[in-house]
Amino acid sequence: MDIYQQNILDHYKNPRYFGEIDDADHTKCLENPSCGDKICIATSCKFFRFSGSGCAISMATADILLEYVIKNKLTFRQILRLKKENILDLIKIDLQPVRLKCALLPLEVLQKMLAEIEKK
Amino acid sequence: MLKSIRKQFPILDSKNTRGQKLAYLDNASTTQKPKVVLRAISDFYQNFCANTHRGVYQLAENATQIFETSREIVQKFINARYREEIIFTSGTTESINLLAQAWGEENINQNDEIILTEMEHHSNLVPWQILAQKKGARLLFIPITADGQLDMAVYEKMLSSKTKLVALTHLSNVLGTINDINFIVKKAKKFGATTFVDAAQSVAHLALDVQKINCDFLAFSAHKMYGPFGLGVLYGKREILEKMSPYQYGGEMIREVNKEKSSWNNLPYKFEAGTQNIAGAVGLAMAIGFLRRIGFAKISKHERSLSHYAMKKLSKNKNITIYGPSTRGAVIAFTHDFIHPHDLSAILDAKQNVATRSGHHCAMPLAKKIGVEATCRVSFGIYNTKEEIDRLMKGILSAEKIFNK
Repeated sequence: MDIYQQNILDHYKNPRYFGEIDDADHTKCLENPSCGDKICIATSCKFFRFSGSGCAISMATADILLEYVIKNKLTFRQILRLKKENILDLIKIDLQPVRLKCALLPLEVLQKMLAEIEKK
Repeated sequence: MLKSIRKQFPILDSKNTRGQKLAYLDNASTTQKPKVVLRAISDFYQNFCANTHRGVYQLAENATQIFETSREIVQKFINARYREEIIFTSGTTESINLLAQAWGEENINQNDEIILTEMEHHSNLVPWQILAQKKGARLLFIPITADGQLDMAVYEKMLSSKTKLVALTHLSNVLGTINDINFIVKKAKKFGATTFVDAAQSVAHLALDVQKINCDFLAFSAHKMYGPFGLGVLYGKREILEKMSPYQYGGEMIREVNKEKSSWNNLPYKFEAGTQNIAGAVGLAMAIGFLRRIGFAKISKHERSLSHYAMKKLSKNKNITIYGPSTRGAVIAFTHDFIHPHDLSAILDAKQNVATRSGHHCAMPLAKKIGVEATCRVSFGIYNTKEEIDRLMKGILSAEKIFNK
């Protein structure tokens, strides 16, 4: 403990970027096969929303990540350079390996989506 | 009684940094190991270590005798007719893979049907999927009813002359359902189908009698019955095993090896290629002795009362949904209305040192069927107490405080 810090619970209970985007340009979904967490991220004109279901860590991290990306107007290149350490700095908690997967799923979804967009 | 049983498991006295004792409620995953089992394994390595069936020196003779005595102890434990019907494997998973490859390869053909259930663990599903794909056979699944029982009416209609195999779990590792395997085997036999029972979840909780069940094959793992990791058993009827070809090739399983051709050893060695987990077999024999001294009457009485107590406590919490039938084995899977199972398990561990498991429990088709992505599961063993269940409930309250909307 305590991974359930105020910032995690706050973003989990009151997510700012949870929802769908009508007419999204791109959507990418991934599942964590070991726990069944599922996260989708949709984008349209540099705006992002996430949806899906999962534990507090994966859901809150998705929200914190999108907030960071949107507020700081990160470019695709900058997003693609984000690493595990950046996520841990953002969420400010220490995680055991099993729960680390929960925290890294949102970044994986986001980066895979952007990589696919770049290929097109 | 409970006190003397718990004394056999020093790990139950271990404490976390908050000074709380471990409440181990993940016995369906693996059980803890009693001192008698650990001592027997260490004693074997210290004083009797030699390879079996080969050396003519006394130490090797002794090791062989110990290994074969373990086999006889297993034979008596499940009441098999012959000792050569007991094949040692690395675990239930290998037992099923052996069966799917050695028996399935020769006995399943195009358009044959294999009947499984919707509550199978992946280990009793995937090997049959692969076999069916390879052979062009069909998999049929006995559906589960709303209260988590197998739908017997549907099962009886599924059976036909096409049915070549009925393979199912004795006890669901998620729902806790105890399947009526005697009835299922009896019906399958009427159509000449071969039968397999996955007893991994039941072997530590219910007395098994393979002659009474009358199944053709049955498998279980030592580590889920207070024994060591890395050892399992495949029971098979002698007349069927004799007709089967080997599953792996190498030392000990042969009779005669020429440069171009070889012939196979007798049962059970035909299926035990290479050096076996001899110390594991010793540990399993000791675990069986440990279970027998307590007795299955006492074991099931104690575990039933724990299950009953936990069901009562959990169902009082309106945020909790329990899956499966009211009469069940020592397994309870549940979800919470506003706490994800992983968060719940993490908080139970952190606040109460209660070990539970969350996820799909290696039964993804079942999770889909009951409409959940994951559940939190508690499963009991002979050393668990009602006080530990009280701590589970306290932990749930703590989690509710954290996640309160």
